[in-house]
Parts: sequence; structure tokens; C-alpha cells
Amino acid sequence: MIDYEKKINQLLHDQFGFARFRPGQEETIRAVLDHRNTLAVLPTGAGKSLLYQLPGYLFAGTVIIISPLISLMQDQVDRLHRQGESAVVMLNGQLVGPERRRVLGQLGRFRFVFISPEMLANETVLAAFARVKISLLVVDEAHCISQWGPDFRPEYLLLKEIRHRLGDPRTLLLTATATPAVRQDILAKMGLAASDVAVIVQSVDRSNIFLAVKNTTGQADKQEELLALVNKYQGPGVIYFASRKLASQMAAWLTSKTTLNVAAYHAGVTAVERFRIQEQFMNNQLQVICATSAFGMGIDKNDIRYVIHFHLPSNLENYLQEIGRAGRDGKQSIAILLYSAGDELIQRQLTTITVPPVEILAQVKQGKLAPAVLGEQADLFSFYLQHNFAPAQIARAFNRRQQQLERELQQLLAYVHSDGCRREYILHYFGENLRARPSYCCDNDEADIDEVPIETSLSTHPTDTTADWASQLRRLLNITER
Amino acid sequence: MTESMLRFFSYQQPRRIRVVENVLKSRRTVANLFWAQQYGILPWLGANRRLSRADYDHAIASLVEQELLRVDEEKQALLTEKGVAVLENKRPQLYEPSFYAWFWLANTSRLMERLLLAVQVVSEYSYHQRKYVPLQLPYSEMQAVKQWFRQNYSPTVVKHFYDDLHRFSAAIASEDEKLAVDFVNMLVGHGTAGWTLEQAGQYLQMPLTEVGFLRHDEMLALAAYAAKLTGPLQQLLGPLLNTSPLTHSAQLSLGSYQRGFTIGQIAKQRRLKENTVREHLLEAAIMTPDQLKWEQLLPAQLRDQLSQQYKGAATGWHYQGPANDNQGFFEFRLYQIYQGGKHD
Repeated sequence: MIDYEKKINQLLHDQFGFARFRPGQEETIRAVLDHRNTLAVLPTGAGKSLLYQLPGYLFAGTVIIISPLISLMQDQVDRLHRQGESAVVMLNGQLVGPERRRVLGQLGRFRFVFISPEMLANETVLAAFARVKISLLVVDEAHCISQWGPDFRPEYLLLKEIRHRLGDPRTLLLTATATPAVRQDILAKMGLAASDVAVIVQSVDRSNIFLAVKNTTGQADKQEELLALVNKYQGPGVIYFASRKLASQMAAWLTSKTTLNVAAYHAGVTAVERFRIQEQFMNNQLQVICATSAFGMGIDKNDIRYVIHFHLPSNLENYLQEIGRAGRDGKQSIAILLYSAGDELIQRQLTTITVPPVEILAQVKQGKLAPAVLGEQADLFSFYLQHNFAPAQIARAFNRRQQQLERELQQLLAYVHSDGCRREYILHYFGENLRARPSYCCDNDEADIDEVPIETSLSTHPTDTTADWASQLRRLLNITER
Repeated sequence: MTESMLRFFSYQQPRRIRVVENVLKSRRTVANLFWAQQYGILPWLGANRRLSRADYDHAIASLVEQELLRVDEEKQALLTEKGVAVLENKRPQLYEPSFYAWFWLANTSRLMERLLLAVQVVSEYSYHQRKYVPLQLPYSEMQAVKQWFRQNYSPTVVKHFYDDLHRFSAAIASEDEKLAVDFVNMLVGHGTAGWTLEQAGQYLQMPLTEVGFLRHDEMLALAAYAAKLTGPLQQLLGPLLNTSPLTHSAQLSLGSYQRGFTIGQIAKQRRLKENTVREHLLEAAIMTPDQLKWEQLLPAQLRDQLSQQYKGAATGWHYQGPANDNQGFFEFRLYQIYQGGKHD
């Protein structure tokens, strides 16, 4: 352990460039190094990737990281690349044919393997992992295990079985937001006894993020309010929208109405364009990003000063995740939710699911009807049928989930309409109490939101462009002669 | 994108809206290729691969609503007089491609991805930077670029690559300065992630769709350059270039046909349906008419016979033979292609 002690601090400093751990990191890493299965609930921005990256350098073998979204994996892979690590690979549905065979044939050469749950459920993939020494199994966004239903990846339900097939490796479960009930549920679904698991919980509170809600009278008013906020706070900032189309339209509108560089960033943007936007945002060449909530954004930028929601998120968990992008450097930041009466209808539309009658489900199960009759969500229902859930059970669970979604939306609306302290409301929701009120807490405590000292963006750093293509080309390849 | 779509339609000739969409997305069925050729838009094949059905339909509906386009029951569209006027008015803003004749040479999206990663790798290398985030491409593409860089690795690799890129950029600049300005500014490298489409549009004062067409043009020029001139670009991109406007399978059928085999024999040899072989020959008639022995396939006597039946503009003809006569339809279509203009 003494050796470890030295090594840990050396790694933290040399490999990751940190002088000390952030709250929760050290306890988690120690638990992992003690060969304990561990559940870490650390707020967004607390530095969760270090929790498996650091042990990855101390253990022999491969760290498997299960992640629900390609963009989240990409973000982690990018980060490791920036650190100079090249023994990293991403296994997902995009990797097919001979490429996939090649990667699977040499899995042991990678220190970090990122994989989607459905890929890990694949027999060929499991067989390939059987030949590899697994040093640590990491489940990122572990709350997905508990989100039984239409809004997340059902493959997370298979993880207990998959883990067993992998030889029950030491496991690290990571999540940013989980109520006590969800924590219990995660462990139960993974088949882990609570007494055998080290649970490390840090408060979800992000005290440097001021919380505000702005009521507007309709779309036009909201748009004007957004423009005023963007002009006031400049950037770097992120604005969330409910649809790709609106994100793109508003990015164009804000570009035309301000002196800022604004870009839309969502699943409809090509990989190359996403890369450009991400890099430009990191380098402050772009000040504002218009994103969709549905799309996990692979951007890890410390100095995002504000997160604005143009539409409602689906629940407080997601809201906290999304505003958690702001102020990772610890400096004062702000989260503003723009609301106008009736906004909840949009959110309801996005999350509503038509549950097919039990008889129809039964007939599909018996092969009498094609799965297509199950409507838009046919794949989802088929998954549950294929994994031997009874039709009545499925219908019941989905209906229950629907009710839960509605409850969550109501709780979010209560946050919007609350005239009490917003921070207390959120903490209460996650089973916590407010320990110390920050000087700039929320719009209900602080009379004037304008008094919150937000450092407005440094000078606008224009995108490096030139009409002189020849000199641009020389600069690109570091050619000094003319 | 809406008004820029007007350029694909005509005041005189009804054009199937799905054909225009399929051409832009590079859907290569013989029917699409045939109609694209008849409409004179074949070089636009693959010019907007990411066009979505929803966006396209939305654009068409909007043009109809503005009374710039009329769509009949068979989903064929004609420009209205107002449409013609708007199109003429818009002309100066519409990008006029220079290299679309090479439309068959490469999938320009793939070409661009590989180019961008290679430039990024060499650029970072030229600044001695090892820690950076590479553009994420499919694994095989990353491997291909890695291998290319290893093969070219030498003290002069940066200079060689620069010279090649400079020679190419100068060549396209002489055609249209915009091409070189956008080409160089969209490249990814040390300290620059390159222009997004929107940024290029802002800088060059072009609508987004037109920037897309401009980039497609740059990539076709690059493909043609890499096909002809040896150098690092050729080594990098050569494997992505097509050697013929025909698909591989159509080339094989055409080869057998040119060696004197009948359609039936070719079908047997290649274990294909006879109709597939006919489609291959039709593809060849559209894409490479000069390589076809017209006298053998469509002898003068047969042409005379068909000319009695089909008169006027070839695009207006309707096949008059029995529906299940594949050979009959094949001859009809061949004659239509023959008369349709390409082959004089």
C-alpha cells in the first residue's frame, strides 16, 4: 500500500497534471485499489474519469468502460488521447466487419476499452473478452440500470449477467445523480449485496452555479430574453433546446443578432463538423453552443459560464446533469431555465409512449403478428419480449414508467414555480440537506439576478481565417520559407 | 436550400422529383441514372449525400406553395414562369461547379475525411505535437492514414506534402479563387479545426447548400488531381478512387459482352439473372456510351423498327410492348438512350 501511495500521487501529478484530489476521488480510488466493488455518486464535473483512469495505470490488464452513448465514449477517448494515451479503443455498432475482428483479436493490447452495453452482450465479443485479463469493469452512467422503461437502453438490464460471464471482475459503478432509492436499485439490479459494496456519495450541490428561472410570455418573448442573456453573458455558454431543428435555427439567429460565434451541436451534425465545433469551443473561437438535451455532448470544458434551457428538461436529474457542465473550474456560473406557460406540453410529447395492449404483445411474442405492429417503439418492446418478460409485466412496467415520467415532470414544474430556495428544493429531491448557502444561491433568495458576478467572456477570439490561402497553408504545415 | 433546388427543374421538361432527390443522394439505379442523364443532371450524382427526405420534401412543398414549382399527380415537377424568374434572379448566388464531370470518380465524403485526418497528422507532426485529439473516423480509415504516414515518414515528409497540397490549391485557385480559399481553410491541423459549413458560408457569403456543392467540387477536383499526378496525395487517396464510371459488376458484364458473349451466356457464367445483365448494359449505355458496340446491341434494322413506334422527344415515350417482355423493354430503353442525345 505504501508503494501504491507514492505511485498514486506521482500518477496524479505526472500523468494527469493535478496537485491534489477533488472531493470523493481519493476515497473511490482507494476502494477500487482495495479490490472492492464500488459505487461512486459524484456530481457532474467532479472528475469521474480519473476514478478508473488512474487505477488503469496501476493494474495489469484491461479496463472495460461501459457507456450508453457514443458521444460520451468519444469524449473519454478524446481526453485520453490528449493525455498521450493511445492504447484506447471504442467498441460500438459503428465498428463492423474485418475491423471489428481485428480489434477483438487484439483486445489485450488496449489499456482502456470503451463499449456499449449491447455490444458487450454479443457472444463473439464476450468470447473475445474471455481471453483478456480484465482489471476493472466500469459502468458509466450507472443510473441507467435503474431507469426501467422506454427512455433508456434496456441492455443495461443485462449487465448483471454479462458481469458474471466476464468472471465477476471488480466493478466500479459511476453516476452523477442518484437518489437513495435509485442507489439501492442499481446494486440490486447488478446483483451486488449492499454490504459488499463501497458507496461513496458526494453532494449533488454545485455551489458555484447560481440557479434561476425566467418566466416569459411566449416564444417571441423567450427568444428576446435569450438574446439579452447571451449578449449579457457572452460566453462560453451552452443553450439547450428540445429539437435539432430549433437548435440549428437559433444558432443561425444568434449568429446574425450578436457579434458572437454560435454553432448548433446535435446528432444531425456530421462527425467532422462536430469535431470542428468541439475544438473551436475548447479554444474559445466559438462562444456559444446550441445543443439538444437528447444528445450527450462530448465537450469537457472547464470555463463554461452559463447553461440556459430554452425548453424544459425531462426531469431534475437531467437538469442537474446538463447545468453541471457550467463552472467546472469552480468560478461563479449561472443556470437559467426559460419558461413560458405550456412548455410542459412539448416535454410530455417527447416522453409519451403508447403502450400496446397486452393481447397484441402476446401475439407478437407467439410470432402471430410482426413486431412492426408495436409502433414506433417496436424494437424496445421486442427487446423485452425476447428477454422473456411477460406481456402483462411489460405493459404494467411501461404504464408505471409513464406515470413516473409525469411525476418527474411535475416535480420539475414545481421547481420552476417554486418561490422558495431552488437549491434547497433540488437537494431535498436528492435526499440531501443544504449545509451552507453560497453567497449567490438562486433568484428566489437573491433579489437581483444581475448582481451575480459572472465573468463575461474575454475578448472574442476570432476563428483563424484568411483569404490568403497560400499563407494559411504555410502556417498549417509550419513552412517558414516563401 | 429551398430556392437553390429550382436549378434542377425545367420550364419545358417535366422532371420526377424523386429522381432529383435520388441523384443528389447518389442512389444508382439504372432508372435514376437514365432520367438524370435525360434531365442533364447526371453530374450532380452524389452532390448532397446527406440530404434527408424530410428536408427535401419540405423544400419542394415550399416551392410549390410559393408557386415557383408545379408538381403533377405523377410527382413530376415543372418550373412556373415565376419560378423561372426567381431562378434567373438567384443565378449569381448559385454555385457553378467546375469539376462535376468527374462525379463518378469518388465518394467525396470519404475522400474529405481521409484528407482531413492526414493533413491533421502531418500538421501536428510539423509542430512536433504528439498529444492531440485526432479526428475520429472509422477504425479502417484511421489505420489507412497511419499506414500512409508511416510509408511516407522521412525528414522531407512535411515539405513533400506541402508541395503537393500547394500545387493542387494553386490549380483550383486558377479555376476559382473561392475553391482554394475554402479548401485550405476547411483543413484541420495544429491550432485550427477548420471552417464549419456555416463559417465558410459566412466568410464566402454563400448559402449553406451552395457551400456543400462547393466542397463537393473541391473534392472531385482533388480526386481528379490524385488520379493523375503522383505524390503523397495520390498515395493517400488513390485507393478511394473509382477506375470507371461503372460499378464493378457492370464492368465485368460489359467485358464479357464486348468479348462476344450473349446476355444469356453472361448470365449463366456470372450466375446472374438475365435482367441484371441487361441493367448492366443499360448502365454502360448511359455512363460510357462510347464503349458500347451499338451496332451489335441495337442494329440499324431494330432502330428503324423502333423509330416507327416511338416518335418525338425521347423523354416523352412510354413503353408500348407487353409488360413481361424484358428484352423488349431493354431494347426500348436502349433506343431511348440512343435517341436521347448522349450518343450522336
